[in-house]
This record gives sequence, structure tokens and C-alpha cells, in this order.
Amino acid sequence: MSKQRIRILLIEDDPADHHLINRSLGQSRLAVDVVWSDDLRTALSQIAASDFHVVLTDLSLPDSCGLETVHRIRNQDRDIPIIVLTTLNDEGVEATSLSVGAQDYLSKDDASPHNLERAIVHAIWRQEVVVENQRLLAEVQSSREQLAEQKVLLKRKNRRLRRLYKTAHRFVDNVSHEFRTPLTVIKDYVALVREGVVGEVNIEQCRMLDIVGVRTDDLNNMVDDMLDVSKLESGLLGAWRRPCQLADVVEPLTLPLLKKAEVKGIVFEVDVDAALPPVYCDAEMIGRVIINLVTNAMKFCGEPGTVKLWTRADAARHEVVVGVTDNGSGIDDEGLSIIFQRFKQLKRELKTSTKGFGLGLNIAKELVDLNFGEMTVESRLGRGSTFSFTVPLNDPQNVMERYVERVRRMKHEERVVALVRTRIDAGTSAADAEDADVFFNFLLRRSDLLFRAGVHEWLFVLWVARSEAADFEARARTEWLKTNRNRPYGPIPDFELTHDGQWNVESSIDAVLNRFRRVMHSDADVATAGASGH
Amino acid sequence: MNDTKRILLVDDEEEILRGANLWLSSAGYQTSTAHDGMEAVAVATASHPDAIVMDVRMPHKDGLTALAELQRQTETRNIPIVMLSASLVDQERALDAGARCFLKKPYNGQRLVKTVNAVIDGPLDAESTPCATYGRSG
Repeated sequence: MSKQRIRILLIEDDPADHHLINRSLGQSRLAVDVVWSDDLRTALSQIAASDFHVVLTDLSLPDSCGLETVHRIRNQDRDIPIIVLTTLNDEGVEATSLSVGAQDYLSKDDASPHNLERAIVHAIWRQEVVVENQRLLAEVQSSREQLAEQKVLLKRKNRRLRRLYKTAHRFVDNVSHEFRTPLTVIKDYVALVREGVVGEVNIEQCRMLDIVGVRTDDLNNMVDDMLDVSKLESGLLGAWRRPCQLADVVEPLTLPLLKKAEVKGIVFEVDVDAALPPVYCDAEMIGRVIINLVTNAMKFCGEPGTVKLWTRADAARHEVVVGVTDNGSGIDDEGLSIIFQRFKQLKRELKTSTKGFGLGLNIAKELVDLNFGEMTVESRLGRGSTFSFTVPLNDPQNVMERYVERVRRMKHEERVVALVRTRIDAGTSAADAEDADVFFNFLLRRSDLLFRAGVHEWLFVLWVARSEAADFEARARTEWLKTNRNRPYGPIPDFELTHDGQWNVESSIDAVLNRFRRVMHSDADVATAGASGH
Repeated sequence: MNDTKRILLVDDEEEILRGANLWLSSAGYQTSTAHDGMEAVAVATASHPDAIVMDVRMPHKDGLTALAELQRQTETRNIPIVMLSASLVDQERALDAGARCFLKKPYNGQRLVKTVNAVIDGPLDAESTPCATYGRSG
């Protein structure tokens, strides 16, 4: 600053004062060029015409007086530093002058070279800071506006994407529906002919019709797979989990799988322990996992082929292991590592099937994950392979831990886990309590859980958007009225809902689990997870 | 009233009606048919079948709407209804709306017969419990 010449506009109508200031400036260490003006009008046109570094001004001029002077200079130039020169008469105006845009004030009596120099340098510096601040503020403001614009844009895009997802989902659902209509007719007619309903069939014809039946099942499973892939990739596939017996899950699958094995000349053995403790899962999904694993094993087993479906309870880990073992040529290290890698990744491209292992395994892994289990594969070259997965036992605390852990991994920040307690009158009969249990199960959305905290008490675990947690009660009420209207057997027992709170899983895992534990053990009834399962 | 139970079959696909008819009539049932929800409500109201086996997705009036209407009418309210659909999306809706059972298409003919037997003569305690059967696995 001292190197550069400072251009000063001095506005002063008193020649004596002008002289005094001019002399002080001359004696200071600053290199200055001073332009003098004795009225404001001239001064303003000078400010407009040329580039001053600072304005020194008297407040009482022939054409302006007091704060108005500062105002008018400031209006003329938004950025120029102004120093007000005051006299004894101006007492009280000094401080106010700063608030209307002056950088500093200086009594003419104190206008020593040193004081003037300091006032000028500081005024220029302060004004630079002010200008810089204004620039930064403007920048912040414009970034804020940009952000707001982008937010609106993102919202619009999100809405569009959601719409697209829905459309795509509906499309896949419709296409698979269209596929299944002819499949239904084929499967049905083949079975009618095969069973001799429409006339006698010979042994060879029976065998061929069996093959057609099995192949139709294959096609139908492929439609299921495609539907699952599309739902998994769009995040629309949730599980409808409840307590069930693995033997009940396996039972309806056994016959068609045995048929398939028979047609392919494979020995298929089912060794499911009927005494297994109940598990907690979406029976339909776990059924699909088993079908996919067995189908896969039948594709790669030896000659003659044997495939075994087995189960084993692991009480220590609160789970049941379900395995499918074949006597095929096994998978080499490279193949194993590819499969392992795929199993480890949480979300992959589902559409690309692992080399030679089909889409089925990938889907199976995802479905196991949705049911809080894990999938593994073991293989020995020349001896065969075992694909196995775990299903949690119907142990509420353990299931809840797995649920929270899984929800946490999904990283949906806008969603919360909400606990909602439901109670029916303690005098309700056992049969009516079971009806209520069925009803509560039907209230479940696919990413919700329901636990039976006692004979007359249940606990809903909902995974919902923060704002939706309160909607649950309204929905429950509406459904209750609707169901009762349609019930020939009298109304389902009335219930009472209590919101126990909602938590962001990311930050309060322990809080959710502690609360859950307390609720599950608070009732006098023995806490057993709902034993309803249909 | 004789012992032969009467079943109303509802589907817009003639070939599916024919197959279901063959299974049920060979199991001793007497069947009648309707091709959409509107016809189903009319036939059911007029003839009071012992059970109804109905598809979900049909033209004019879909199965869920027909189901709701049948549940509202006093004279048809107690007829057990088995809903069929190729889409599991329909399962929850059908059971929520009061269907006694849901069968996924393609269904197994023998299972259809068993299901119809169950909704007509099923044990009393199971009567109030909706059942879901996954047709894929036979």
C-alpha cells in the first residue's frame, strides 16, 4: 500500500480545514494525490468520473449536511472507503456515521499526519474486507440457490425413477403372468392325460408326459427366477417371514423334485429331520432356494447321479443348515473362488450368471440373505459339491439381531425401525387370539416383522420412512373394519396399539435391541414368537 | 338336496375352465362356469354353489372385485372361495379380501381337488384360517 500512490478525494468547504488536512497528508509517510472539492455535488461527479482510493469528507457542506452526506456518497459508490472528518458540533453523529456506510471518523483536531495515515490505511483495508465479504455472501447465496435448484431437479428425477421402477415392475409382472397362462394349460392338460382322466395311456406315453411335466416346471421356475431378478434389482423384493417348520416347506417340493430325478435317472434323497425346531423365514422364498439348489445339483451330478437334500440344526448359532450334496465332478479352485466372490458381494449384476452355474444360484443367495441366512459351498474335485445355507431358528431376539444387522447394511438413511406393540383383551379366548394372530400377520408388509410377545400381545417391527410410521395405526384400523365386515364368524378381537418409538438403525442399534428385549419380556405370558404360521 | 356338491369355476380362459372341470368332475363334483367377475356374481347369486374357484385377472370385472361383492351380499357371503392367479402379488390381496384359499398358477390338478375338498368339508378349526398354497411345487 505504501508503494502505491493513494488517490484521495477531500470534500471540505472550509479552506482553513482543507489546508490543515492537506498539510498533514503531506507530512504523513503516505504517497498521496489529493483532489479537493468544496461541495457535495461536484464531489459526487468527481467520484463518478475518476477512481479514488478513499474519500475524506466534512459532514456540513453547502449542499448537504450530517449523515445525509455519507448516505449520498455511499449511494454514488457502493465500495469506496469513506472517512468522516468531524468537529465538536458533530458529537453523537460519529458512531452513527459508521452505520450508514463510513469506514471511520476522525476529529479534525486530531488529524495529525500519523492519525490520518492510520485512518486512511485502515479504512481502505476495512472496505476491502467488506467488499470481499459481500462477494463471499453473494457466492454463498448463489450456491444456495443452485443447491435448491438441484434439489428440485433431483426430486423430480427421483419421482421419475420411482415411476419407471413401478412401470418396469408392473411390466415384468404382467409378462410373467402372460407366460404362465399357457404354462398353466400345458401343465394341467399333460397331468390330465398322464393321470388317465381322459383315457388310457401306455407306459411309454406316461414317461414322455412326465418329462413334459418336469420341463414345464423348469420353464415355470425360470419365469419365477426372472421375476425375482427384476424385483431384486429394483429393490422391490421383500420377505414375508414368519415361524414355520422346514419339513412343511420341503414337503410340497418333494414330489415334483422326485419326479424330475426319476425322469433324469438320478437318485434323489430327502433327509429332513421332522423334529427340527421351528425356523423363521419366508417359506415361499426358502422353497425357491431349495428348488434352485437341487435343480443345480441335478444338472452337475455324476453318472449315475445322486443328490441329497439334508438339514442339520445348529443350536449354538441359533440356525438350521440346509444342504444339497451331489456326487458330481466337483468344482475346481477357480470355479469355487468365482462362486465365493459372488456370494460375498452384496449386490451384483444378477443378470450375468456365474460361468456355467446358472442364474439360480445368484437368486438363491439373495433370497437366503433376505431371510437373514448365509450361503456357502464346499467341493472336492472328483467327489462332488455341497451347497448349503442357513435359516435362523424361531428365536425372536436372535432374529431381531439379524434383522437389524441386515437393515443397517441396506443404508436407507430416510428409513427408521419402528416398534409398535399390539394387545388384545386378556380375557380373549385362545381361538379368538389365534384369529387376531392371523389378522396381524396379514397387516405385515414385506419388510416388516411380527413377533408374539405373549398370548395376548404382539410386537410389530416396521421398517418405514420416518414420516410413515404413524400411518400404520390408521391402516390397521381400516383393515380391521374391512375384515370384520366380510367375516361370517363374528368380529376379530379389538386391539390396542402402542408406538414404542422409532430409531435410526445406523446410530442406535443397541437402543433398538434393548427396547426390543424389554418389550418381549415385559408381558407376563411366556415370550414365544408367534406360533401361528399357516 | 342331494349329495353332489356344486362348484362354480370362473376364468376367462376356456381351456383352463375345461381342465379344472375335468379334475373336479372326475372327483365327483358338479360344475358350472363363468368367464368374468360379472357373470360369476350373477351365477353365484342365482345358483348358490357350494364353493367358487375363481381367477383374479379377468376382463369386465376382475376376480377381486367379484370376491368383494360376493362377500357383501348376505346370500353369497358364506360361499367359500378359492382364488387362482399366476401372480403372487395377488395372493395377499385375495386373502385380505376374504378368499378362503389361494392357489398359484400353474396349479396341480390333484391339489385343486384337495383344496376344494378342504374348503367344503374341512375341519371346523381350520375354517377360519385362510390358506395359501403354492402351485408351482405341485
